[in-house]
Amino acid sequence: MMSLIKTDLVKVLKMQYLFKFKANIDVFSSLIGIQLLAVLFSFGGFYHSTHGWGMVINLQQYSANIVICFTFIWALITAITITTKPYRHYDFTFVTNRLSSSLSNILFLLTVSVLGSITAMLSSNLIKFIVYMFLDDSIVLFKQPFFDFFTGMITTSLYTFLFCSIGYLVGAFIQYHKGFSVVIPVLFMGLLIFDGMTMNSTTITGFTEFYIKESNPFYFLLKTILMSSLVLTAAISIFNHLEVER
Amino acid sequence: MKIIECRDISKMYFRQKALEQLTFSIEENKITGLIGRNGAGKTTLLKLISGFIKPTAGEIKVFSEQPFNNLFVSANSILVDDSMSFPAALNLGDIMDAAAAFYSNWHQPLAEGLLDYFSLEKYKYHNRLSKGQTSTFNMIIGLASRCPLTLFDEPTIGMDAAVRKDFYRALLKDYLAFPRTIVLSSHHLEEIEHLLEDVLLIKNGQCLLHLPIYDVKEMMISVEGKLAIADQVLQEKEIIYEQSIGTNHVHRVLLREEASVEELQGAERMGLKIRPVNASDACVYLTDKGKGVIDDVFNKN
Amino acid sequence: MNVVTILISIIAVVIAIFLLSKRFKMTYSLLIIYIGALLISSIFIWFISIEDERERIKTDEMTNQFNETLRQGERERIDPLYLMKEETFQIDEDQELTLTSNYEWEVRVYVDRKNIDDGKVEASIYHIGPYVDGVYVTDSLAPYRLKKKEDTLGFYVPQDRTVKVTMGAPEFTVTQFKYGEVFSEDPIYANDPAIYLQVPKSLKIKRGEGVFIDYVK
Repeated sequence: MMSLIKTDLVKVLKMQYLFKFKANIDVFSSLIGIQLLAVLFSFGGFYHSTHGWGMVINLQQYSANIVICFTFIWALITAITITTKPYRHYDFTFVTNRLSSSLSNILFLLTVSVLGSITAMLSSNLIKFIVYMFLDDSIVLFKQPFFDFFTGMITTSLYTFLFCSIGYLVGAFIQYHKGFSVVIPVLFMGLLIFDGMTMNSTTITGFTEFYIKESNPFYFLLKTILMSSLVLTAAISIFNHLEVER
Repeated sequence: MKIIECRDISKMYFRQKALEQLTFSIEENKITGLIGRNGAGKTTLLKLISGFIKPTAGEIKVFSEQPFNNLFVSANSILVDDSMSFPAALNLGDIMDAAAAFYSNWHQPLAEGLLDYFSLEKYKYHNRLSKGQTSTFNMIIGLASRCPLTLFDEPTIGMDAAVRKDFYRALLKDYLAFPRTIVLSSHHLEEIEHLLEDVLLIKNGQCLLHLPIYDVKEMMISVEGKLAIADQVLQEKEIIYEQSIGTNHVHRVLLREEASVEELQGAERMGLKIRPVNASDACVYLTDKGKGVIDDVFNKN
Repeated sequence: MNVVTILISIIAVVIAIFLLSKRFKMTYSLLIIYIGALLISSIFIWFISIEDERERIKTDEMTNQFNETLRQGERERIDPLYLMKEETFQIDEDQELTLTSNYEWEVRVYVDRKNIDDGKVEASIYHIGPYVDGVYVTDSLAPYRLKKKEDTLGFYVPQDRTVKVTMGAPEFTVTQFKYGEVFSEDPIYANDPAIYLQVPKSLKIKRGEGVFIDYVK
């Protein structure tokens, strides 16, 4: 008699995680594409002129803010993409169950969030470098406080992962019923307009402010991790009932 | 030991029944042919066994466990069909590496040998293969994984005759080298009947019969001759299939158990031709029962 | 500069050709090139970066402290860095001295009466800033001028000079915690100039246009 293979979740997770890096390698191409596009947009910088004390200071500020925002969009799209049928079904070709499939997806998203955030933060140097090359006459004030880079990287990673989580849940809804692919964008726009009309931040803007107005790093960490866990748990439980219709 | 056990399983898709109260079990290390017409529920059944979908009612057990959301069942089984999904970023070699990582019985020399024999190149991409090549490659994955439970759903779609023959030979050889439980679904039995030990015939989501292939071969006889004589001999016997030949000749099929040896010998003496019905035709007659033949559609007009 | 640009471009192209020519997956080559470019530019920027040693200036606090110190007459406590100019003028004590200025806002003049009548007006101009992102950028500043004409002491701001400053702003994910808000505050800080006058004991002073007089003690 043929002996049956014993297996456990951790072992399968490890295999799926490694597999996903090979299978979803294209997400890095799109990351590079979107970040380079954002770098291009960042060359304009932020112009600011101050007048006084017998002088006019024309200040041009460069940062990777646009790159970071584009990375968020990329994270959202990537997370939605890996919930679509072809991506989900790779797992079912090999060894999986729904939980391990979701968990390995989440681990993958976590890793690409961190990688995407590191490159986003580093891209500020690429912007500065290119700007510096074309500079003619200017006082140049570039600083590289290591601690800022470090906190920025962690914060950006947390934000990016939050976007991934939201994307994963949106993807789960859409996989549950195609109608959500219409309902969710409409709802999002509707709430945004509602916020704009009532002139206060209740729904989407309120949610955004909940994060960007948090100046305590510890609370921020808590808020993002709790929200991500909540959102991902919901997504996992939706996926846990989905059948494979290949 | 029973590898697959189904008890009264039903599966509904949008209020439409795909499977209805199916009960059967499959023993270890047997090659079973899952036979049925298009839409009979073969694919649904295989997906249930693989744990891709959940039964609406009834109980299904694979390796004595529920297959849905079951890692153990997933690790020990593989479903091969033409819609197997592989990442577009991986070439055939990468896919084989991935399969080797996931399936611990994976036999790389076999996979490479077959890939080479069927002239598939490692650096090619799965989505650029032709239909036949896709089926061939999927079959290689299915064979080389050497899963204790290997399910093939119409594995030969798009393959040409020579490749089909090679595939069946490869399947048999590897099965002998490494016995395992195999379920092979197909709608034409004649091609695979030499491989099979058992036949599971389903129609409209229900199990019609589950018998050793030998019994299916012996199951029916056909009677051919003049209409008047046939009517006389086959009185009060249940006719499974009937086809008129010309105006006064007829071809009828009935279960062997309906008629005794003496009766048949008598019939032969009266000028009727008595022949055994092969397994493939027997299955066609069983699944066609009540519908008549295609000729009837034209005869009405 | 251009040599560096050309050199780096050539190296980048060579590496790109090398990566793309081999039977190498496109994405891997892209990743390596991109990360390489990021690292090279980071190293380069690191070389031309200035140290962030100076603490963020607490602007309001600094302004208050500055004004208070001058009002108390304790000008020796002020960093000599902010002393722009010192000048002495001869004056007849019977005269009435009018103070004027062409500064766009009112210039604070701190008048400190000496104990004696020595016929001398000693003027010091103090000015904090401008700081851009905590860095003092006065090198290019044209100094203010003091001019005494008959009984008028004028403070003149020279013609506007344009200074171009290029800086890297911290990303919003940094400022959120560093400054407590996503949008970083105005990185330019400067205090209005202030004049500290030590005048003879009995000199009469008249307030002219553009000045605000504060008497010390």
